[in-house]
Amino acid sequence: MSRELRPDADETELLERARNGDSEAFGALVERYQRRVIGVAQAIVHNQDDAVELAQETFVRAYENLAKFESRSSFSTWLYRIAANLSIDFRRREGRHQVLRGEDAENEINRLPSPRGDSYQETVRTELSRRINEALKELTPEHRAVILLREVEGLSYDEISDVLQVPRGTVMSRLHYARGRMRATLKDLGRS
Amino acid sequence: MARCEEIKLLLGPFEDGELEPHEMQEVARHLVGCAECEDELADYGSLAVSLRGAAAIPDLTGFTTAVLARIDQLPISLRVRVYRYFTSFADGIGATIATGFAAAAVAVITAVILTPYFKQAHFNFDMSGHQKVARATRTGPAAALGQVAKNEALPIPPDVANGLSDADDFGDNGGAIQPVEASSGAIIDRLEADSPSVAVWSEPQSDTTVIWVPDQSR
Repeated sequence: MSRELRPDADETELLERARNGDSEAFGALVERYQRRVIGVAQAIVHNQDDAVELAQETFVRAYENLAKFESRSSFSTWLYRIAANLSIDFRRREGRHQVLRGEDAENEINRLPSPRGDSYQETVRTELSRRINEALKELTPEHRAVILLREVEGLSYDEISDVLQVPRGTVMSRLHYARGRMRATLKDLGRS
Repeated sequence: MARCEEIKLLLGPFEDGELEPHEMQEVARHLVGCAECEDELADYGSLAVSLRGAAAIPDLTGFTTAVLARIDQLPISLRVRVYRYFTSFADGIGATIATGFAAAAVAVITAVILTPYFKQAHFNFDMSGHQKVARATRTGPAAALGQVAKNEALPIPPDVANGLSDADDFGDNGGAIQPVEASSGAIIDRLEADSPSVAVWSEPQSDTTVIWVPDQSR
């Protein structure tokens, strides 16, 4: 019953096959979007382990609701929206407004790819990462989500608006605030 | 300065390329003469680089497998069940059609291969049957004539006896088939013509020629 899956199979074909229960085709979609879905979840909950679990849940929910996906938006935006909703619900449920716990911050830093050779550069990099994470902690989850979706995941304003279901103007104002706050915090941390 | 405050609201979207073309031009013109706004824009650029650099890279090993394992545990939806049913049905029909075509092809090939042999066999059968008939025909009138005459112990009229001798002569004629058939009819015709009281007929089913001779004693 299952046909050969071409490596370059387009999204429409993969979706159609996944709708008909072809898990291999859905696996190809998971491979394609997993990193970004994790990124969206991580932008909101700011914890990698939680983000990975939420991303898994996102794909399972997406699979269950494939028949309801009407292609009015792109599949990726639909996925990100599911991930964002699950992540926002998770954050509310867990009451994790102070999402980046000390231990997690250390883990985040340890997971960074280490540059080869120069230990001084590595130290600088680690210090910069620590400051960035400190500055992110100063933001509200809403502001943090917007700036991470934009700067790390590279989503456009319209995509962020769609994923978080807020007006584009809100995205712009939150982003403006988050950038200004991050800039100020990083300068303070630099001075200290 | 009011001008700078307005422009600063647009610096982020300017960096992101999310402004209208005329707004992009306006910000660009302002930046040429405003070091403070230019510094802020540069800070936004380095902030983006720092954020991307600080982003933890998730370990994706086994992620897809874990998702698919969870999906496998989900109940199969009605849509999927219907699709699978019809797909398997279509596959079954397809297999039946394929089997039918294969069987037909085998039959055609077999027929093509065997037809010359059948024809040869049929020809041989006809030939052997023809020869048998011919042989019976050849031996029939002469032998039957003698046999019937001997068995019945009937007095054979001289004209019939002449026919017998002719038949014997003919029987020695070396086994040529066609002349035998032709001569058998001739013998019978001659017998009947010479002796109107003699009746001769052939029984092809019993491969026998019957010669009826009237009772001379009366």
